[in-house]
Amino acid sequence: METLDEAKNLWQNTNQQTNQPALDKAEVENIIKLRIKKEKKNAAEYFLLSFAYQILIYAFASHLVIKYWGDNRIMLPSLTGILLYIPLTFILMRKFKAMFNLPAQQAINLQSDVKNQYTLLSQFFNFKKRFDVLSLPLTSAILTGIIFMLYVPGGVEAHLAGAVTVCVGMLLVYGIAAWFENKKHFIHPLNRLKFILEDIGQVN
Amino acid sequence: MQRITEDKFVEDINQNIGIIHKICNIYFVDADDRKDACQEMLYQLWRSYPGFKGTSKFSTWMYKVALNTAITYSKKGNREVPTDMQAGNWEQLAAGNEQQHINERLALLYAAINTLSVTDKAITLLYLEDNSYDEIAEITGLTKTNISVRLVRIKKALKEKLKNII
Repeated sequence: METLDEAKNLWQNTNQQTNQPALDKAEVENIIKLRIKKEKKNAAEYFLLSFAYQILIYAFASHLVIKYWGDNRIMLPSLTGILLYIPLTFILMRKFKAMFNLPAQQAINLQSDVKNQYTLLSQFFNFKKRFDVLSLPLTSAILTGIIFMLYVPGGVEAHLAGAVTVCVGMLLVYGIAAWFENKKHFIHPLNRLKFILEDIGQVN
Repeated sequence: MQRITEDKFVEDINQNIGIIHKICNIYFVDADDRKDACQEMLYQLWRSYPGFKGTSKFSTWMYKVALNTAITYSKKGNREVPTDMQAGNWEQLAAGNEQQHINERLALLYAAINTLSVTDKAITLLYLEDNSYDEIAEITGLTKTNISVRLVRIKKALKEKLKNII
């Protein structure tokens, strides 16, 4: 063990000699402002990505309700879509807010702090998976129904196989997009946190 | 944060600024990553500062926040080791080292530590900084026995890499 003790001497001697430049207040303020700006930008990007397709749904459904006001065949499915989506969007926004207004680190210890981060992220991810499972088929079904009602003579009843194909295709596209999003924002970060937790918890 | 607290924060950080630099040097090889990580640590410390109640030493609290930021902030792979620090190059690095300046030996020590896992890096840094086992346990959340076991393993691993250098 002599080697590490020698390293310790080297470390302490050299590090005591090293004079790190002190930070002035303006510099600290500038760094903090930049980090806040960066964090807000990241949150805004994710927010826009998450809500872009929901905004499209609302815009499309609202457009149809106004345009076909009085025509129950179009108006009712569009209104149903909006009404079904409102609670989902509300819950997602609440979770989103909690996710990006993270409390400052509690500084309990490394193990607990990493565990807290893992728990928070995995809770949001579990919610998002359930949200995707519910909202993606719902969106695909409503959009398919409306498109066939508006643009395909005979509607879904006359072209059931075609409607199912379009619906499955739409679901596939949404599913792939959600998979990539989950991989980037949740699966990779969670794997990394899990690895760190395993590394911390490793005894031998 | 209020102005008085801001001044106190800057003062406290400056008294322990070496902690940030040492952690950044150990966890981040690339200069840009290091700069970015140092700023992130400062930001996380600033965010957490109102929660510092003074029940432990400021440096202990600072280690907790800065180390947590370092190990979770790294964008690189889990066990990625720069090619010039892989095992095969150690003998080459050691050759002719007798005449090298002390800072080069320190750089090699950093490189050796860099080959360790994220937790072992933290334990090694805290050990080299002369923290007691109690303090290391408080910062990492591990038991003293666990730290002791891990330090034996770390010493063995580093000894292999450093025996011809230091």
